[in-house]
Amino acid sequence: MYKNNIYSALLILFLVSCSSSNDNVNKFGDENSNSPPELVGLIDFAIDENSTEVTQFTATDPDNDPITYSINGIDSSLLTIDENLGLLTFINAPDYENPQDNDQNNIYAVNIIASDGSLSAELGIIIQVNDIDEPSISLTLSSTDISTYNTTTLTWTTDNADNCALTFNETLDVDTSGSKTFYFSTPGRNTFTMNCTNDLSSATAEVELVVSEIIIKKIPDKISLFNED
Amino acid sequence: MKYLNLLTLTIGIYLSIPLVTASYNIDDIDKDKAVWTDHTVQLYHQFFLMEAFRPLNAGLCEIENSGYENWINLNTVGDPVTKVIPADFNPDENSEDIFNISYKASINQRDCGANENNYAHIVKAYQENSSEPLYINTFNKNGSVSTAGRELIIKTETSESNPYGEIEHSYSLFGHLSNTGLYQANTRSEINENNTEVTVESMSLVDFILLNPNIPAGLIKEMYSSIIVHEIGGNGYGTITSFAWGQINFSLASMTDTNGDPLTHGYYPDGIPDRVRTTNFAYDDNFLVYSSKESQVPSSPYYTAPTDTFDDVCLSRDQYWTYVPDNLGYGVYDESGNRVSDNSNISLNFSIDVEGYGLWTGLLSLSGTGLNIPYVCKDANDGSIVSNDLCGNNAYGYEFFPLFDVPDGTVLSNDNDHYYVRQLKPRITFSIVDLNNCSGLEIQPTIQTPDHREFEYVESIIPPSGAILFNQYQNNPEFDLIYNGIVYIANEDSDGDGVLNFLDAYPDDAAKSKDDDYDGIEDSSDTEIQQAIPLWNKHEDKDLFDNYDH
Repeated sequence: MYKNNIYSALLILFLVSCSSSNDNVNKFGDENSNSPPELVGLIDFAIDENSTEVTQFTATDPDNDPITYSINGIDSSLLTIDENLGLLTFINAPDYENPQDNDQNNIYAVNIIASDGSLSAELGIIIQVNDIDEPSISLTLSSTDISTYNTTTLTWTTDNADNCALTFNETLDVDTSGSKTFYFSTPGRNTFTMNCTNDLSSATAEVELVVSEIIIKKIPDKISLFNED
Repeated sequence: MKYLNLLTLTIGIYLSIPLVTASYNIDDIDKDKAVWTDHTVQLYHQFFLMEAFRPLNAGLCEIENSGYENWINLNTVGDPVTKVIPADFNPDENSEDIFNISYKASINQRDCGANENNYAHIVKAYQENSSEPLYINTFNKNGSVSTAGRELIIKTETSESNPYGEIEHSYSLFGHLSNTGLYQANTRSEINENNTEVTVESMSLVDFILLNPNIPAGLIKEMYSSIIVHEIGGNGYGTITSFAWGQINFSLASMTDTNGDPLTHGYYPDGIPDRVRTTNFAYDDNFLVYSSKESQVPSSPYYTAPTDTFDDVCLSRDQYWTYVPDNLGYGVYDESGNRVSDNSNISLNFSIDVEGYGLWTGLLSLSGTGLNIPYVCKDANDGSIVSNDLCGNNAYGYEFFPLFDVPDGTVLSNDNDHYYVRQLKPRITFSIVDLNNCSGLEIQPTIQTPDHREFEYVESIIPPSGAILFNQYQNNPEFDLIYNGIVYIANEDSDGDGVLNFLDAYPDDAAKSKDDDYDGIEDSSDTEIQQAIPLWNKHEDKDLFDNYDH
């Protein structure tokens, strides 16, 4: 069962008539005339950031024609709708701190279209993305680039995090703030990933360390005016 | 034309120890006896030329054999091959020194021209980053007898155009029995501002006890001081000055005057050298020409030998042959492993088939440092026997050399006793070639060579170390007289005492783990943890060049 995303107070019952410009109905009232789908529902939604599901739309067709769903509108590229089920979701979970909508105001606007193949109904909606009290992570290295056979210290701080785990080769549970020293004897790129959670959400941060190889100066076989090889 | 490296030959003979008869088994002799511990050193017939390089080359060989590249900076917390860090290693709980601790290496010094007296080397290698110099220190504590320290700094690598790079090398050998410095060698190469020339300065100080253990330390010393100016990408020239103090005769008995009193002309550095030899040379890629003037110091009242001068001798730089000098070339040992005395009055029969001569049979007189082998005139180009007339007429390129070498490991016997012979001081002779080969080389006037005060003594306290982590004898334990080829994995704990092997000086003894002064007494039982620190007298107030013209 899909989650009911009715968080917003505004409830508007809307009856949307079918598009009549493309009138396939026999003006003389033939019994073979086609009626457009009817799409009725809320037009104002709100969801928390970091989630993808918005709601499921259900249109009806007087002729019992099969209905397919699609979307258009200014922010439609950020969402998708199941053409058969009418389930509207964000392609990527919206981030309140990093809005992607056209106005960058965390209000996403799309049009829902229900079609019976000939006639269609359209419902314009808006989706408000709510800010939640999610964890934040600050992750730093004491030196961004080191040479082999050296150590570097990873330090981190968080806000609103209850638990944190550090992943580097293996995943370790760590305090929500602290530091850890690592010793590197081999060159390469190394990624440290910190994931912190609270009851509501989680946050992930990464930092990359480049370990360059020390070029050891070569010792000559010998330094001599004479060759004994 | 090249010749068989004597070192290879020596090893081959060493391996054929069955020369030892059943009644004389050298393996039964304690490992601390002289027959095991006397040093083999690869020397040179043209010692006055080669001493500018021999100690450095021996050092480079030793360090190359140390496995330092696996442990630089130091990689002791990771396996040297896999670089895996021990799972329970926490840098937060260890001092920074853990990355700079030294390690023990058992090094095959025989390959470097020294004998199998393979006390472990303590090695420490460090390089701040790829553009900074490489520092390598090695320490070698030879039981309670001596301590050797070496430092090598590679600032600029060598190249085809600059074979000297920019390198500093210091080596000190200090004898604790005599409380005297026995050997000191330094080399320093430096590129000029225009990057057109590299100058190489070298010095070495040799105590004669290293050549003749029957002479007390400090009595006879030689010093070699040299400078080479090498045009980068081109040829070079230079000067070598050598001094000899107390070297009237190698025998201690002659070190007295007619009244039986000790000679009073003094010893290094206050005494007057008996001989000063100045050699100027020039070289290209293939040949070296030198002229050498050896003379007594005018103020020396005791040395009466005439001035000896060699003009324009042309040497090949890559063609050589070898011999063992009868005097100071061998070590002769009794059945207890001790060197026989220099006046043993023992003579034993020996026979050998000599190429170009035939079967030689005769009596060899034994001394601790040599055998009285007859000399014949040889072509200094290849060591072949020639008419003695050529040497008698001082013809160019001919000199007297021993008729034969007594093979390493030979046992000389009579009805009652056996004596074991080792080749301790084999010598490489670079071939004297036709002077026309050096016709394009011009010897330059004498250059002032470095004074002894420029010595840099390696006196550092030997850093702590744990188990043997690198062993060149791992696959040849029979040559590892002390450690029997063993090597430990750094980040394992062989004795389960909680101290990883790289920190555990007693990796097989759970009750012991530290011996920071290397005296063989575990620190918790050691009432005096104190290293035998070499106390060199630097003689910084002595100017060796003031008293005589060289």
